[in-house]
Amino acid sequence: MTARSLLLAAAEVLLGAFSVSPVSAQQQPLPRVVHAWAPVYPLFGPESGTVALRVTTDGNRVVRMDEQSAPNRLLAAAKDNVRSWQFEPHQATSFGVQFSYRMAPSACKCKTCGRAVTESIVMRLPTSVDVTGIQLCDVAVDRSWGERRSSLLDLPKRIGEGFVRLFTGSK
Amino acid sequence: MRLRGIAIGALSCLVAACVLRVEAQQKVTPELPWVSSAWAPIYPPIARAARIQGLVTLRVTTDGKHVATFDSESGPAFLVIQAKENVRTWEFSRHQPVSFEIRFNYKLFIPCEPVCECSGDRQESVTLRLPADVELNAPSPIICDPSAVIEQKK
Repeated sequence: MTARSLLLAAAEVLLGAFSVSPVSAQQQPLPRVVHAWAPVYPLFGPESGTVALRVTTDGNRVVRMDEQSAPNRLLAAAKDNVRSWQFEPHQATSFGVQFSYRMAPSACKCKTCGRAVTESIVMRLPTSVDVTGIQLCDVAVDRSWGERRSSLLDLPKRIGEGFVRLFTGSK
Repeated sequence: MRLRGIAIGALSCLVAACVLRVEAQQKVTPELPWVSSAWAPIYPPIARAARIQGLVTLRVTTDGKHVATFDSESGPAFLVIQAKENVRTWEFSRHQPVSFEIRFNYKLFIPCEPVCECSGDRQESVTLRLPADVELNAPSPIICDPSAVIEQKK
C-alpha cells in the first residue's frame, strides 16, 4: 500500500514537472522584430533546405547564433538575414528560428509553364521564415517556345489572309 | 449557295483571328523587375493600436535600379506613408525603367484570448511577393468585453 502511494506521489511530481515547462516557456514572450531585411533567395543557390538556428539576443540585437546542420549557402544566407534583425528592447533571451528555402521547378519561371508561380517570402518573425525561389529557365528553350507561340497566334490571321487571296484571286 | 457558305466561313475565321489576337495582346504584361534587396515591412504599432487596416495601392515608376516616382496612391493615408517608406528601400536588379502597381494589404485579426471570440489561432506574418504584392497580418488590440462574452454564453 505504502509502495503504491509512493508510486502515485512520484507520478504526480513527474506530471507536475512536465506541466510546468510549457507555462514557464509562455512566461517569456518572444521579442518583437522592428527592423529586418527581406530574406531574398541566395543567388546561384538552387538547393532547397531548412536552416535551424538557435539565436541569443542581448535585448536589442542577435549576439549569438548556434546552427544545426544545413547546406552552406543557405546557412550563410539565413545568418546574414538574422544579423539584420533589430528588436524592441527586451530581456536578453534565446529562441529557435527556422528558415525554409524551397526552389520551385525551373519550368515554372519560363513562359513554357502555364502555371503562375511567383517568388514569395513569408516571415513569421522571430520564429520562422519561408522563402520560395524560382530556378531560372533555359533561355534557348524559352526562345524557341516563344517563336512557336507567336507562329501559332498568327495562324488564324494567315488563314484569313488565305481566304482573302482565294476570293480576290491574288497570289 | 456554296460561295455564301465559304464567305460565312471566312468571316468566322477573321472574327476568331481578331478575338484571339486581342486576347493575346491583353495577356502580355510587362516583365516586372526583380527586387534584389529590401527592408521587410512591419505593421506600424500605432496603426495597429488605432486599428487602421486596409489596402494600399501605389503606382510606381523605376529608373532601372530604384523606384523613381510614385505616380498614384490610394488607401488609408497613414498606411500609404508607411508603404511608401518601405518601397523606397527596395533595390532592383538592373532593368529597363518600368511602371507598375504595388499592393500592400494591411490586415488585422483578433488574437485568441481565453474568454474572447477570435478568428482562429493565427500568427503575425508578412508575405512578400515582390515586387507586386505585400500582405501584412497583425493581431488587433483586444476589443471584446470578457464579461459580455461570458454573459452571452450563459
